[in-house]
Amino acid sequence: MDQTLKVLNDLEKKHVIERYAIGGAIAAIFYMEPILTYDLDIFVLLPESPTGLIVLSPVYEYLRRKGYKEHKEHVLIEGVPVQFIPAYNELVKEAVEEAVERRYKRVGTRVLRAEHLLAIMLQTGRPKDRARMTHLLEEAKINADFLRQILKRHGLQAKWQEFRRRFCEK
Amino acid sequence: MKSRGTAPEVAQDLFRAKMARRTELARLPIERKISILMELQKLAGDIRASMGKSKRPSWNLPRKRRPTTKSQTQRAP
Repeated sequence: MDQTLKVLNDLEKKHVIERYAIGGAIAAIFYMEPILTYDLDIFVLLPESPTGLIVLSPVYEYLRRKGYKEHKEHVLIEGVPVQFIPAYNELVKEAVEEAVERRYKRVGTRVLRAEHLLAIMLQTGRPKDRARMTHLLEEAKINADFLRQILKRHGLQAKWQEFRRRFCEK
Repeated sequence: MKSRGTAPEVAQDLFRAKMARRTELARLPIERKISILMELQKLAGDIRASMGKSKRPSWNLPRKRRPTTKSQTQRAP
């Protein structure tokens, strides 16, 4: 995966993307026990296009030139299927901006904070997100104040209370 | 861990032990966790194949390259 991360770092250095951070299950694995997943989800902030639209095509074109092939919604980079997800709302944008720096082997990278991961999973709300949330709450060190602020800022408090009531209270 | 007791007691002990194991796994270095993930992908692929389902492609990381010198190490972006 270190080779994959080097390619992602190059995307940023060459200003193809503004900033990236690892999200999804792989980000969760940084904080909790390993769980089965096949994708490396990469949340990206993109430079604004002249039309003001969010376009991923420069990312795909750059990678195609480097010889990486697309497969369905992924690009296979050094053996890892990578899915690029543009920051699609204010919560995800904030999560990428505040992601923490980590190392994998000797390669630097960025990973979403556990509190932002929880908030994104809560917002997305699929059954697998709820399952991951309960694991993350059990196994990761969560800054409760920081999480509370995120939930308040993005209007997720009621959803959080509902989640706690249904899945965390015995 | 207790091996004897009432069924609920034994179950409670097992759940506690499972939780302790998960906490232990959560503390592993990320490099080790990714190795475990790749083992999980292989295992899941074998199970799917045994059920006649198509395998999802597991990660195929390139073989180890020559060790880099310190000056070649990448810094955080």
